[in-house]
Amino acid sequence: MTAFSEKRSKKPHSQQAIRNARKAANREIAPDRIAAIYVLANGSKLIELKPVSIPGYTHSF
Amino acid sequence: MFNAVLPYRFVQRNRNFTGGRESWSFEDIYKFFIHSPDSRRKYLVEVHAYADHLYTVDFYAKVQGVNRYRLRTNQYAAGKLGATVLDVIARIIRTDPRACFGFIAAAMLDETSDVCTRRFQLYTKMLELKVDPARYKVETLEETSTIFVMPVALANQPGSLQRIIDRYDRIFRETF
Repeated sequence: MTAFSEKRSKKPHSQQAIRNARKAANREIAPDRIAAIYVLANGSKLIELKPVSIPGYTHSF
Repeated sequence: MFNAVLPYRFVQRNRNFTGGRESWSFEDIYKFFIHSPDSRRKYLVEVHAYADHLYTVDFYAKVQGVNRYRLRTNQYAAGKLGATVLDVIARIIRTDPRACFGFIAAAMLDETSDVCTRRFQLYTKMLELKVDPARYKVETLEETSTIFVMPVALANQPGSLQRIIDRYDRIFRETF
């Protein structure tokens, strides 16, 4: 990294905060993909996923 | 996507040589290669079998280093890789129809948290598509990026879900 690019890189992009928020939202499993939620004994949530069926796809097992 | 299975080969079955540190009964190793225009990489799939039809499946590109599960190979062949690993799993199911599988989706090197990692997002999408819902269920824990695939009949038994998750919790603790 050159001195010039280092100086430039210190300034965050104006859209960076919006991008980070969008990435964080995309990380979570969307509600329409969830079939059921079970709460385990230690309090963590076990999420059962809905199967997706698309014509042309074959099941592996 | 996830339909192109690469040719793979069974390498060997190992006895448990950890002296009781890990509780698996045997380990099967498979290998295959992924070719891209400028590289040829060897991939290994390690299947560990535990008591009560529990299995874990680990796969990685063969590299020297500690971060083999977290590396990106930049071969852009996740579809072929996923399809081949799914075929290995299907092969295990043909020999043991009551098999349950547990996976940990490792974080990328630039990820600082194990919550809902990028690999976790890919693997869950892949399994949603490729697992027959009449026979298997896909259960996930977002906090640890852990995925479980288990037969429907077993998952519907009262108490069995909690028991299997507890067993896998102990297994992952002794391995990672």
